[in-house]
Amino acid sequence: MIVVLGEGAADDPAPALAVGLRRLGEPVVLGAPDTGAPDTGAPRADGLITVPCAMASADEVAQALARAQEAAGPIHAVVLVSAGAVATVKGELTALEAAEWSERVEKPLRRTLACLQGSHRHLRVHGGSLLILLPTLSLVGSAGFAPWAAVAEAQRALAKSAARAWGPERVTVNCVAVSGELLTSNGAISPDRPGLPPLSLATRPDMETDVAAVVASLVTRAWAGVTGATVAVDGGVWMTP
Amino acid sequence: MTGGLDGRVVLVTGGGAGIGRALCLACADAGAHVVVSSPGDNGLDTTALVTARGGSALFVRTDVTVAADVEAAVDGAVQSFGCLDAVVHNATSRLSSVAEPIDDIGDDAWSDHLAVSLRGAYHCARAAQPQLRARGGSFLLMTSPAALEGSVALPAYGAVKGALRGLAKSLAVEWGPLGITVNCLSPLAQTPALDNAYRENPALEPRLRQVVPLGRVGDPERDIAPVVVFLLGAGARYITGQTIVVDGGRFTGL
Repeated sequence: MIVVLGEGAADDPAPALAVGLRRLGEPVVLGAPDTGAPDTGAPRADGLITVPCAMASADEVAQALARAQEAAGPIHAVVLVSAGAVATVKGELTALEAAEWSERVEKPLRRTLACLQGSHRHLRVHGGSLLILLPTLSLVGSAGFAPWAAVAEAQRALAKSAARAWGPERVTVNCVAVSGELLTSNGAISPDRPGLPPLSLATRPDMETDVAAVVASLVTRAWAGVTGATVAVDGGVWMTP
Repeated sequence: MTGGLDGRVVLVTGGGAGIGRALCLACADAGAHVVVSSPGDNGLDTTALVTARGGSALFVRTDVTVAADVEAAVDGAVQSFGCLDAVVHNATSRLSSVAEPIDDIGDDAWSDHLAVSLRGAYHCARAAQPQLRARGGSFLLMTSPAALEGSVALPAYGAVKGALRGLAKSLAVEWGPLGITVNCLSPLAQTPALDNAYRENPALEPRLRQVVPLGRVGDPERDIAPVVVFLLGAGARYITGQTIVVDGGRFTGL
């Protein structure tokens, strides 16, 4: 069973990923502060089983995963989808107030650490996969998104450290880099760098079909030998190392 | 003075010891006026060393986690030397070299790493950008091999140093039109922190010598600082958004 952790709100990308994984036949539970479910324990309108999880601490994440396990069986993968909607807002760094910095950078990083630590408590028992979805802009930079890029590059570094530490327990930790447009609800404001280079494929990968298919594959035994890596699912835009 | 930084004004955070002190000395030797930013009295010692070598330096006691302190350091540069051409954010948490596995990272340690390395960079960027913009300046963030490769022993340190790489790449794009270059430098250098690590893990020193193609750990002043001097000088004005790895060939994966 795969647990997808995100915001859970209507404009959050986590439900789209979870729905896509379920269509591929994966048992999925969505963990989020705002589950979008009508009542505790009831599935959402889109059929997703949910557990409340604010990712406030490792204990809280571990407890949420225990509830997910009770609801849908043993967990073999946890996917952290977003750094939180607030992290993705565009703005010049010099215009950012201290309180906003804390909300957009420090809070998402605390959630990331809690997610990793809490997930590890479950996955170390039988092995498994941890994935972090992050924007390609962290690999190449993007004006107006320095805080988000900082969060994402910290997540990548943390993923590498976790991969080294937990590899002996057969726990893999990888990152999936996607267009920032798939991770933000900013609408017309594209988080990607304008102008260059062009998309190599005919269409930009979407979350529910294309990214979900890659995630579903990455958490299988086929990828047991890959850890600490970043896989870009961006349609061949940047082709970074 | 002779060198690539004649008359330029360089602010170095964490300038009281280790690589930071070496950078202060090298920048001053290259002709820069150096603002030594440090939370402790060791910044005074660095300033004394610079002036003893005939250089120009100003000590400003600075806790980079406090925005007003960083603003005062920038103001000190402008008031004493008339401008600010470059900032090197080198300060890190005092816990940087304290081994702590990822499962054991607690709120206090995590917060301290975030505050000094990352929030400190934000404070530096915010306070210095108007000055750097006026002069076509440089903003250099010191990152680490732990950011590039991950680290079992120092995951929190690696995370915040990784964050600086993300910050640098996006700021390079954001500030490029303003004429400001933004880069990272990842050093492998003999520092007091590495000395501590050797004491905790005696096997580390021979292992490092083995894995570095050049066969030695870099000297802060002779191996690392000259690259920083170059990056802050006119010869590097077309380099931005990069992580420059100065590690004797230890990491070749970029």
